[in-house]
Formats: sequence, structure tokens, C-alpha cells
Amino acid sequence: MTRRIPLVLLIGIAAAALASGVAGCKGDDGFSSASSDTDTFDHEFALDERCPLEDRYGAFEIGHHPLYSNVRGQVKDGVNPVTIWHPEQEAGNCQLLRKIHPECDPACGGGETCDHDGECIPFPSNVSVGTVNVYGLEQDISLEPNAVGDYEDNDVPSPPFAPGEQILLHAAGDEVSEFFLDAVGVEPLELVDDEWVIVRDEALAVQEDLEIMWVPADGGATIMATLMIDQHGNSPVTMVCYFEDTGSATIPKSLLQTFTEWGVTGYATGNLYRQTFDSTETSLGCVDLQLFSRVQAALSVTNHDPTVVPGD
Amino acid sequence: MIRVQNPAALLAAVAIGLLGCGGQEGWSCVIDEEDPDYSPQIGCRDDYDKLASDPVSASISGARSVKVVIDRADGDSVYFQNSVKYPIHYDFASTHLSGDGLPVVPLLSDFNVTEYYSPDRRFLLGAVNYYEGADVWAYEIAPYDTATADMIERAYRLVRKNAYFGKGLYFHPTSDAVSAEADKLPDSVPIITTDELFEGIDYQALNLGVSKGQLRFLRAQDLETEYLTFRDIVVLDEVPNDISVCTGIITQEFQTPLSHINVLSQNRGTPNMALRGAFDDSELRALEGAWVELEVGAFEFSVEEITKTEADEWWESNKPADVGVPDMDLSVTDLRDYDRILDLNRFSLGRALDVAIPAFGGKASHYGAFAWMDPEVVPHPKAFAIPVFYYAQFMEQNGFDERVDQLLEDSQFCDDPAFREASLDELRQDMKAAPVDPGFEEMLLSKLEADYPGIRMRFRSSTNAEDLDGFTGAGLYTSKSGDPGDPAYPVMDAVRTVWSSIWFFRAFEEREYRSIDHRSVGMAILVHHSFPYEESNGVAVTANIFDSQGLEPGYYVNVQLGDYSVVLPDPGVTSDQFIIHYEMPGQPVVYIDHSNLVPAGESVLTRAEALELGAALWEINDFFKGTYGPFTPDHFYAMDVEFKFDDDWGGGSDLWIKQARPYPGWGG
Repeated sequence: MTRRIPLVLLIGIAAAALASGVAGCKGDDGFSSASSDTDTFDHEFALDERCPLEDRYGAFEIGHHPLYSNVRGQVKDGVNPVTIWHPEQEAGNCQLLRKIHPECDPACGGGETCDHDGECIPFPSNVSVGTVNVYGLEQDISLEPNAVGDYEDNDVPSPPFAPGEQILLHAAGDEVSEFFLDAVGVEPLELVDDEWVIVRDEALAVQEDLEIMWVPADGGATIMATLMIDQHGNSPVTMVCYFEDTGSATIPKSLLQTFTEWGVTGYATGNLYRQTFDSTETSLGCVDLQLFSRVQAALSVTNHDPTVVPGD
Repeated sequence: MIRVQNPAALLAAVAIGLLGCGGQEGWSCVIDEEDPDYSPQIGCRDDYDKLASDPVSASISGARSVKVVIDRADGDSVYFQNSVKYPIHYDFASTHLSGDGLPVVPLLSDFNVTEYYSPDRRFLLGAVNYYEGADVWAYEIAPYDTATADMIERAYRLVRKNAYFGKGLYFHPTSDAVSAEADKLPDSVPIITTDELFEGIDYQALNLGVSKGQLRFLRAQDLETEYLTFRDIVVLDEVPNDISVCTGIITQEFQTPLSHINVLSQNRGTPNMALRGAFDDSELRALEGAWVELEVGAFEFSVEEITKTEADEWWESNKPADVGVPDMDLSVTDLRDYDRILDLNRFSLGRALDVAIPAFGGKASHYGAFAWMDPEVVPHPKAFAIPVFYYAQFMEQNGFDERVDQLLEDSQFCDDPAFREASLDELRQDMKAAPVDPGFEEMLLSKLEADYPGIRMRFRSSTNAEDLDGFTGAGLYTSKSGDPGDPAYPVMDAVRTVWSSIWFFRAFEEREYRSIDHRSVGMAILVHHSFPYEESNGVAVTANIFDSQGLEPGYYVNVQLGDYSVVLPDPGVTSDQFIIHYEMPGQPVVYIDHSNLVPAGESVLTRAEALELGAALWEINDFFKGTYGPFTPDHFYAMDVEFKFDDDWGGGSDLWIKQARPYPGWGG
């Protein structure tokens, strides 16, 4: 599911490299660069939808997590079929997505993976997008691919952005042509109640909707909730919901029923994100940027404990 | 005496370690701590032991395992992780290799999507296993890992360089897919196969546990004439197809986990193991006739002499618990189609089974669940059930119930197993010749003519004393084919044969062992078309029975060509055994053994068939999970599923699911 950010932030901005003398300072008229005394580019600030999963060749994220923050991303020469989650059920603002493992006969060899047509394809590999600069954060950063081709910087302030600040990611281009991605800083997210309980009766029927509450913020960012069944990392289904930033939302019990029927072996997790999205078409395919502040809820399911057999 | 798989090999290995500590070839111990988190090197056997755990999947007995993480984002740093503290790679990587200047290790679900599959993965993940029986050090990667040959070679060389056993290190491919990639490795990376490892192993744990009894040696063929007691621990030269109740089994031949005698051991909760050379083992022979304690562990076993007093005290406090049997429901008299056996519109699955089993028995009641599953995923033959009422009617009309009462009160019958077996045999023969209620016979034949015209049917036992807590009743009774249109297969003979099988000697003895009231047990019958020309048949368990932690989920499958039995194989006949990791990307199939009824290099099932079976097992496992599951390290859950592949019945699939019931686990 993708959703357009309901912001009025489509402001035309010409971000130009500043003279080296003002490096590190924020310009009054938009983006400045702490390090780019040679880059010049024109870019109109606008947020777009997230890439469709089947065309998502790359993703960057600027994340404010409970214990740290970081900027990371990668672009590949293909789409890993296992990351294309399939819609299973939809209700309210939520969607249940299922991971489907494609079947290949004969089995795929080393360095290959199976696509949804049952064909073995090369496992998507990282490609270089050149130097990646991110402007508008509390501290501008410049990224080069690491030994395995990922872009990552964990040495950033936490949170790495200020609410409402316009942020620009610029990839200089290498195996992929130059591209830009935009984001807007968001308020740090705070849950009102960090215990999410899916209430079931002894017949394992979900009894009520799940109400979640957080401290709302202005700015028009989107709230995304995810519920995942871990099953030791297999995670057969995940639930994704998108809400307006009003401070409360409801996950329908009909969807929770299906979600729990997929089994809750192992440890389920719930996360809430306040975020903005952007995406762009590159010479390879779609690449997106997610800026977010994330909090984790303690998700539990009544009549289920990983170490207790449910009654029947 | 404490025994391990291969004491000589172990001693040799220890010796190597000790020599290593002395500086042989420049190696010495590098770990000072008693309980380290990891080490960049392994300098001696002591180092290895401080880091080693049991392997996640113990399909090859007698291995120890140390997981290895190589961080490609940090100059190929090598970490031999403490595999007890950190049972899986993720536990270690997320704790020690995340942040502080290193890339952040993502959530487990994301980690698992890339780190065993992507060419750009940050980590090379594997394990160094030491197989004590074979005295082999082997580097392995997960069976579903799609590492290229270059990556395998890189990891192998780094492990070899950083361990004292490096010069003797092999690469062991753990699945067909890994094996295919390993074919591209240079000769300088020596490969050892699973078959070669098995050849070097002489201990196999089948059902874990401790027992105390009298040690006896018998040839398998002697079991037809010799009677065992509940308190015998028996050493056998071969794997028998059946064995009466005893308190422990040691076979000289390796068994399959779903072999009949192991299923019996699981039902009984008695230890079962295989040990090559056991029948002539001098140390075991020295204990012949003595009271002993047998302990069967996943990786080692022990047999120690004890006093008779100790054995008696143990028996008194460890006698099997009585098993209560739900009363027969004699109010149900209709021949019920399988899709009406369970009323899941009114009841939960567990409650519906509780209601159905007293009338239709365990097998038919569980079969009724198939009607609530997707028939394209779980293909199954249309069926109906004869309720237990008609068995009770038959027993009463022919006076067999009174005869059973008399036998049970006869002291000779109770005390003399030979007399007991002969008496039960006589009872069964009389039951096979006795008349059946004419009204029932007419109703049954009419049903067959109306719903199954011209079809040979299979009549299958379904008692109310099976699939109970701690007593599955698996393999105790019989099935028989009947065909109204073929005088060679009289229908009522099939019915009487199934009914009479309730009084098989073996079934009686099993019930007696669990203090089940024989008179409370009744026989319903499940009826569906027969499979006279099946291409293959097998049994599957919806869990990786070699992985007690649930870390490498998969389904264990035992399958054989045609109608050759997988649970009662002829001597010398082996079947295909494999784990299909159906919920893992790439769905790898890991063969443990191969059928010797198909040409070398071939398998009984094609990959497409294995995947089709995997889909059915997933559905069945999921359907029953709320009632019998879920699987956790503290609670074993799996369904035991019988299946066939037969292309004679159309319907778009050659797969036919015949049975599903809860699997008892493997003890311990």
C-alpha cells in the first residue's frame, strides 16, 4: 500500500552549493551543504509516494530509533522476489500482507533466487550510486558504499533531524544516474500506551479492535503501524496501517483475527512510525526515501504465550 | 560405564587437542575465559569445547558445533561464537557486531532475508562441526544458504587459517543445492558427504530417555517366539518390524525415526537407540542378564549396572501412568460421510474432536478435519465412517464381549503370555467367522453401491483409544480392502478383520502396559477407496524432528517407491528420508538417506512432488496448530501425516493425504 503524503510542502527550491566559506551553515533560502563546494544542482522539493514493492530497486532511510539514529540505504540491480509481499486482506486503514516463497524446480543454485514465475534469476546485487550527500539534517553527511555496497552512517545525532526541516538526499550517480530524494523532519514519536494487546477468547476468536494511542504532532506526517509475526525470523505475514497524525487509531478486529490465525509462534512485534516518504525513478528503477521516528510497542496476544500451550 | 559414539576417535581427538596446546604446528590455546562470548581463533580442543553446542539440527548423531561469523564489512573479521550463549548467528551479530562504528544489524526478519541469500550480504555465516564418530572436522553452511562457491571457499579458507584443526578441515554440503554449488569448489577444498559421515558414526539416538531394566540379547527373528517382559532392555541384531512391550531397545542396525519400533517406543515413552556392533559389543555382553540403567541422549548414551533393588524402586516410581479412554458413544448409528464428522460450525476443533472420537474413533475423526481444508492443497479421498456402535453390536450378538470378560478374569491368561497370545488368536479367528448383523450389512452394501460403485474400498481401524494424551495407539491395528464386486475381497471379511484386530496380541500388550481397560475400547472404521497401484507412499511429520529448538523449521518426510512400507521395511531396504524446509526461501530439500529401490542418484519424489507435499503439510500443520500446538522449545508440536502419490484417480493431483494425527515427539 502506498499513500501520498498530505502535506503542502511542494515548494520549489533551488538548492545550490554554497561557497566553501559558509560550509556547515544553514542558508536562509533552502538547502545548504556542509561539504559540497563543487556540487551544483537544481531541484524542486516535492514528496512523492513510496515505490511499489515490485519495482523497488532501492531504498534509503533516515531513521530515529529508540536507542540510536542512522542513515542507510542501498540500490540493487533487481528486486528480491521475497520482498514483494502479497496483499491478503484489507480493512479500514490496514492491510495484511503475506510473504510468498516462490517455487523453482529444479532448485536455484548459488547466487540465484527464485522469482514468482518459477524461474531462477541472479540474486539482486548492490550497485553504486556514487557519493550520497544528505543536506538539512542536524549534521550534513556524505556516504560512500562500504565493503558490501551498502551506504550507512550510524554516527549521527539522535534524532538526526529537526521537525519541519526540509531534507535533501542527492546521489551523484555512478552505475545509476544521478537522483534526488526529499524528506521533511518529523517530531519524535511518543506512545501514550506502549502495550498493545490483541484480546482473544479461549476459542481464539479476537474480541475487539486494537486501539493505539500516541502523542499527536502538527506537520501532516503520516503514522504507520506495523505488526509482525516473527516465527524465528520467518515472518509469514505482516500488517501495515497508515493513519493521520491525530493521536489515536484503530486496527480492526477482523484483520487481527486473520493475522493471529496465521500463527503467533515466536514473538510478535509492533512498531509505530511517524514518517515522510519520497521516491524517484532512476535509470535502473524506483528508489525511495523514508524519514521516520520509530517507537516499538510490546505486542501480546491473549491466550498465547510462546511457552504455554493455548487452551481449547 | 559411560559410552560415547566412538571412544577411540574421541580420545584421538583429545590427544590432538592436548598436543595442540603444547604448541604442535604453532598452535596453542587462545581462550583464557571459562565462558567467552567468542574467539577470533580456535587454538586447541579446549577452546573449541568452550564455544561448542549441540548442532541446531541433529540429523547426524554425535556432532558438536561452533557457529562462525565472518564480517565482510570489517575486513573479513572472523568470529567463532559461543554457540551456547548465542544459539543462532543473529543473536551474536546483533549483540557484538552492530553499531560502534560497524553497520547496524537489522531486525531478524530483515537479517534472514539477506544474510543467507544475498551476494552482497554483510556476513558469511556457517558452523564448524566436529563429528566424533567419524572423527571429522567439517565447515558447513545452512542447507538453504545460497552462497556462491567463491563465498564458500573464502569462508572455508578463513576458518582453516584460524583454527588448529584447519589442515584437516572438510566442507560438508548440507543440501542438494549446496552440494551442486560445492561441485564448483577447487580440489583444495576437500568435501565430505553426508553418506560418508554416516559411515563413520556408530550411535543413533531415536527416542531419548532413561530406563532401568534387565539387559537381554535377542535376534530379531527370535521375537516371534520369545516373550519380552515390560522390564527388559533388549539388544537386537537387526531392526524388527514389531516388538512387544519392553523398557528399552538397542538395535545393531540404524533405524528410521518413523520406523514402527520407534513409534512404539515413543508411545511407550521408553528409550530407543541404535549402536553399530552392539550385539557383539564386549562391554554390553558383560552386562547380559544384569539389571542396568540405560540413558539415551541426543549425542551420547550410557549403560550402567545397578542392583535389582534399585531397578525395582525405579519401576515402582516410573510405572507408566494409567491412560483413561473416553467412553464409547453408542448413540451414533449412521454411516457418516467424513465431511459431517466434525461440527466446526458449533464447536472449536478440539471440542469437535472430543465429541466425535467416542463415536468414530481417532483416525476417522481427525480425517474429518480434511473436509475443512482447501481440497486443492490437501487432496484426500472421499470417505465415510462406520461408528463404533456396530463393533459393540457385533461383540454382543456373538457373545464375544462375555468371552473377553472371561479371559480377563482367567489367571492363566493374565500370567502366561504364550497362553494369552494363543487365546487372543483364537478369539480373532472366531470373530472373523462370526455373522454380522444383517441390517448393518445391508446398510453398508447399499452405501457402497450408492456412493462408491465399482470401487475397491479400504477399511481402516479407528479406535476410541488412540491419539490420547501420551498414547497414540499408532500401528497397533490393521486395515483391509473390500470390494462388493470382487469375490476375492469380501466386504464383510474386511470389516470383521478390522474389528478383530483390536485383539491383536501386540495391541493387547500395549494397552495392558498403559493400564487401559480393554473392555472400554471400541473399533470404528474409516472407509475410502483403496490405492492398489500407488507410485509412492510415505509418512511425514510437520516439524524438523532433528531440531528441538525450532530454529530451522522444516518437515521430515520418509517416502518409498510403490507400496513398499516405510514403517515396516523389509530387511536391508532403505527409504528416502529428507527434511524439506518449506518455509525457507528456496525451499531446500535436505536428504538424510536414500531409497535403495530407485537408481543411485535418483529420488522417490520429484522436487515438484516434494513441494506439493510441503504445501499440504503446511496447511495441515496450520489447521491443527490451535488445538495441539504451537511448537515451542518447551512444547513439541507436529502432525503425523500419511500420504501417497497415485495417478489413477484424477482430480488434478497425484498427491493423496490419508491421515493426520498428533505426533508424540521424540522423548527426552
